Amino acid sequence: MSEEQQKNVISSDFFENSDRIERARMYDFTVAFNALVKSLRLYGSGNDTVEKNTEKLSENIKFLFTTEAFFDFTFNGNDFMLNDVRVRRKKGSSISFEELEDFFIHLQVATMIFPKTSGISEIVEFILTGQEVMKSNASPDVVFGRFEQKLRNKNIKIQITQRDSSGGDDLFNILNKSQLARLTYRNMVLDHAMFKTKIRENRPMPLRKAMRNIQNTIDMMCDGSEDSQESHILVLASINSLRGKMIATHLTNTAILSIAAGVQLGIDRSLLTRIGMAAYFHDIDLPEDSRGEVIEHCQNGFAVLSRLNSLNFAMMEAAITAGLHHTTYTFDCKPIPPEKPIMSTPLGELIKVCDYYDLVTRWWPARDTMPIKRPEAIEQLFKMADMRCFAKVTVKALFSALGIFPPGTVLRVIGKQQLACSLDVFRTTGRKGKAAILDRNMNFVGIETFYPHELIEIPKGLHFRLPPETVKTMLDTFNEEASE
Amino acid sequence: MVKASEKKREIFDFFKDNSDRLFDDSDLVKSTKELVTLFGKVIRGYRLYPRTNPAFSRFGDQFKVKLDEILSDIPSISLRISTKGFMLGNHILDTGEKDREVVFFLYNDGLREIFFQKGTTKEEISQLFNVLAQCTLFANEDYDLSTLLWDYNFTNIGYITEDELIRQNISISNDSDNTFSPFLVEELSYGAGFGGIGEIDREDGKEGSGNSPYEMGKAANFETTDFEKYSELILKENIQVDFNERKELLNQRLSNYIVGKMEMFKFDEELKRNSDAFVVNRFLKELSTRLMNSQGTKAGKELLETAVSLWEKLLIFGSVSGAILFIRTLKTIAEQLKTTQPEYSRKIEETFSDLENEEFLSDFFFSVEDIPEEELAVIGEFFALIPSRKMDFLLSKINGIDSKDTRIAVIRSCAKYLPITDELIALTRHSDWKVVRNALALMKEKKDPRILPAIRATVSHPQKQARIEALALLMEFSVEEALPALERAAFSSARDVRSAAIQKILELRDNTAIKPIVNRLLIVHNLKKLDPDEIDEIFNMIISMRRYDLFDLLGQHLLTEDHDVRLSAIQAIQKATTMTHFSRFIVRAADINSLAKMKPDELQAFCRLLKPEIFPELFAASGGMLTASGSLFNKTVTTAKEEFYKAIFYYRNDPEARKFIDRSLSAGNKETTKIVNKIKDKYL
Repeated sequence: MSEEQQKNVISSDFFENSDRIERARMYDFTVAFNALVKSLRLYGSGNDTVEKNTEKLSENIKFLFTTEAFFDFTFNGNDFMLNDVRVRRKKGSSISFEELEDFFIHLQVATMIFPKTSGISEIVEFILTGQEVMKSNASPDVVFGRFEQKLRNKNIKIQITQRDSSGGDDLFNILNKSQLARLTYRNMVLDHAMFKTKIRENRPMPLRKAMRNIQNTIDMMCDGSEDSQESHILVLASINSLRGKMIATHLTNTAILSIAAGVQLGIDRSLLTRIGMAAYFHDIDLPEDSRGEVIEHCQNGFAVLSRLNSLNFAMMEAAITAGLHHTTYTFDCKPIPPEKPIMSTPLGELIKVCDYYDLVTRWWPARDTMPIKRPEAIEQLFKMADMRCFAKVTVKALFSALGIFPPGTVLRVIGKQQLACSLDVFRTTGRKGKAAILDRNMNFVGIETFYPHELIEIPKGLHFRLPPETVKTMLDTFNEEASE
Repeated sequence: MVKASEKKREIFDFFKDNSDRLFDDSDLVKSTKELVTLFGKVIRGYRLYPRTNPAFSRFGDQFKVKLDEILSDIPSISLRISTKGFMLGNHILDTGEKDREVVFFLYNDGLREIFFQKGTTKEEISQLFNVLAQCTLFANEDYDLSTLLWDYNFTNIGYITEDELIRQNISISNDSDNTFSPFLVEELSYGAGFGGIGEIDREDGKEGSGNSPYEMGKAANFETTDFEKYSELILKENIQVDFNERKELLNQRLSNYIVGKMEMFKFDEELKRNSDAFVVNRFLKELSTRLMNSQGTKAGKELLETAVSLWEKLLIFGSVSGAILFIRTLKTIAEQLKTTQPEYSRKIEETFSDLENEEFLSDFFFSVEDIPEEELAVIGEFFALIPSRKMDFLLSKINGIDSKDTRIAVIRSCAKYLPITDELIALTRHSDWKVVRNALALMKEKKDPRILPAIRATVSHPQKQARIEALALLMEFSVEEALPALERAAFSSARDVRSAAIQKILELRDNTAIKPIVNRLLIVHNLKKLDPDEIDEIFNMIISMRRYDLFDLLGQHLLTEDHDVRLSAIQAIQKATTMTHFSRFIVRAADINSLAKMKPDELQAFCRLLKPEIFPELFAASGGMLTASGSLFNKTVTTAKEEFYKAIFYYRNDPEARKFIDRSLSAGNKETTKIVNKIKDKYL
């Protein structure tokens, strides 16, 4: 068999590892563990039932060490997880894991980490130690520490982590909106690495984390109050990149822009979540060093996003968008006019526009082409809509969301020898918007408000990228406002 | 109006600041503990019982009562969620060990506080329970309590998640490990995580477009001091702008390009057309196309890995049509790869083993009641993909569906899609009548002659319900086929079977074979073998079903010697809309000699049959009534005459009745005259 042929043949391991078998093994392990804990509690060691259960667990545990040197066993209050994968209970089954749940809960344990080197006798000793601590009726505050100490004393190599402690429960404050806006933005960028890891390890992606960030963003954009964070979030979405996080920043920005454009179209909140999620994942398989000459990421992106945890419409939208979003423009933003309009889904079309806008306005390290200024990007989008690359209504929605001078645009103040950076959405000429005044070295000078007609784009051919200190100071002003 | 976010902050602060005072209120603490316990009951309940269990509705009621009790004194109640338990302000509510498990579940789902405001409705509580059920029963990585609570957007129930909190007195400078801090962006802008703006993005710093400002196409070797050079370029240009003109220009731009109401409306219409089902289909179409076109590539392998388990996920989450589409697609792919990649093809086929995995199918049936109606309608199409040797198991599981509506919907769909197989036919001999019933139900639409012998055989099934089902089906299939079996069943020793059979027989109209069967059935000798109330049941059926062709068979029982049967016939005939069909029998039975033999209750009942529509016929034959008289020791004739005349007198305004009364008075019989006058005096 040639090498090429060999590559195409799927090994039987692939099917061996299929969901069903894995699920069954995980379930069997949990049942056996639960039975052993129970029998040890009832009879202590050296009993026939205990022996039988020990043997059973020993058989089950070896499957978990076929590929890994460690495995994690977690209880999250509702489910058991083995290496982050949920152990599915058999519906309607009368077998309960109550014994094991109690073991985790009483001892305040979140996760047990079993090294391959631990034999079954060590596991038995581990359980007995835990039960000994439980019998001592230690208070919740000290029980975990005591258990950990005893394990150390007995030189047991099984590690335990404590349940997320709310120690100092009274020491929390609720975040102000501006703090929440930045924290949400930051989480969205930083979580990307975790999602990539999950994909690489073929584990389920904890979409709920992303979902919470998206929902927070929607709340902050749509709460209709005077201190709405719309401008703040849109300025955040104009950030070029956190260091080494080009793709993560791009995805976060696209998600925010898509939500903002969706709001302008009057999309209801459940669909705003969907569009935000789909946008946040649409380029998930794009490598950090993408150059733009290839668009394979669409194919791979579709493949990884198709691994649904549930019937999740947002992820289906994300997969469809991932697969189709570069049908009318290249990664380096050159149009590919279609002969007739190509429609993925309405939400997918909206994401495409935002994806293009963020791509074309950013300094992309591995790309040869220049970014263009934000107002020019909008103009370009309208031109490409005429070429059927985008649906016009979606371009209008983005324009409505960003206004005449999209947040982050460097402008000139008419009649003054001043430069400014737009920090607001200029949607009407009758209302003043906020802009940061910049000196000739692009340093932040202060905040002023202007009518849109008092500002003007800088000449063609010049395009500024603001120094980080300036961006930082501009962002700080949002927080200062909240504090005031 | 106070915004939700402000309300949340107010409640959070109130409970934090008034923690001790609230905890001193022992009634409040007690009620709150009870509320918390109900929370626990609900969550634990969902792990044990189906969502349709009425206990949950009861819990909802109790929850509402308890909540109203608490909210009669304070405008809102907030439960803090910590790993140690539920808290009221800063105090732990000491409830049972089991409740700690529940709070752990809430805590892990990111919830830190849940509050209820005055005005919380029963509907909101039910919806909250739904959220809890979903997280308990279908927990997965896609959602948690807080994301689902957000979806519901409750007016009176609020929550705070871990993302919204920050530790007090946090030291920003020592906070590099603290993930709660919202200040990280600011810190990192000078540190390790945030340097992209204005700097070179690549680690090696050699390539990249990093430096700014940019002059078109010229990027390299930019120095920070160059900022000034380029900004000078801009600022030295003297711009003369008329503000009004510029404003007009911008207004023009805004009105041209801002999205309008009509466009919003059209987009909304577009969204409606792209329903959830559309998205699923679009997704599956894309996946199928890509699967077909990407074999042998990395993405192809990835896709296949996804696809082999996707149909199961679609099914478990209620997209039956999606699962069907996908199984078919995979089968097509397996077929196409049979020659080029036989191993691959075989492996794909192997992934369908779950289609006969009883454990998997049981899991599926567990959630079948949550499947939307339109998806339930095609469930039969999915079952048709299951090997027919599993039919037995399938039908038993269908029996196990609690909701009758769902069960019927499933059977209907199965009847539409499932082919008739030997296995299915064999199930008509199953020992469980419900399985037999379902098997029959699946076959009945088909009108396939192969099933006739099976149905005929089922008529003799040891369990009567099975026999009844078979009879009903046989009737639908072919009356000719059904009649012999029905006739046998009408004389069955089991009452249920008899009743069902007789009903089916009486439902058959325009069939000459029916009357002899009913005739045989109504022979007194046979009637006397039935349960006492059964005779009434049969007679009443004949009347209520308006079987005019069988009325004579019923009418003749007015003349029968058996008192019980006769009385039953009288009582049934009373319910007929007209006596015309029974006139000849009534007239014969109204003979004074026959009437004199009747017991008082029977006599009274019979006389109610004497109605104007039969008067001409009746009076023509009533000569005996005018002349007969009772004797000193036998008053039966007199009594019969009295009852007869009372009945006639009731219709005294009828000309025929008046004529007959006059005729009676002039007949010269003293007794008759006396009876008539007595009644006259009484009623006139």
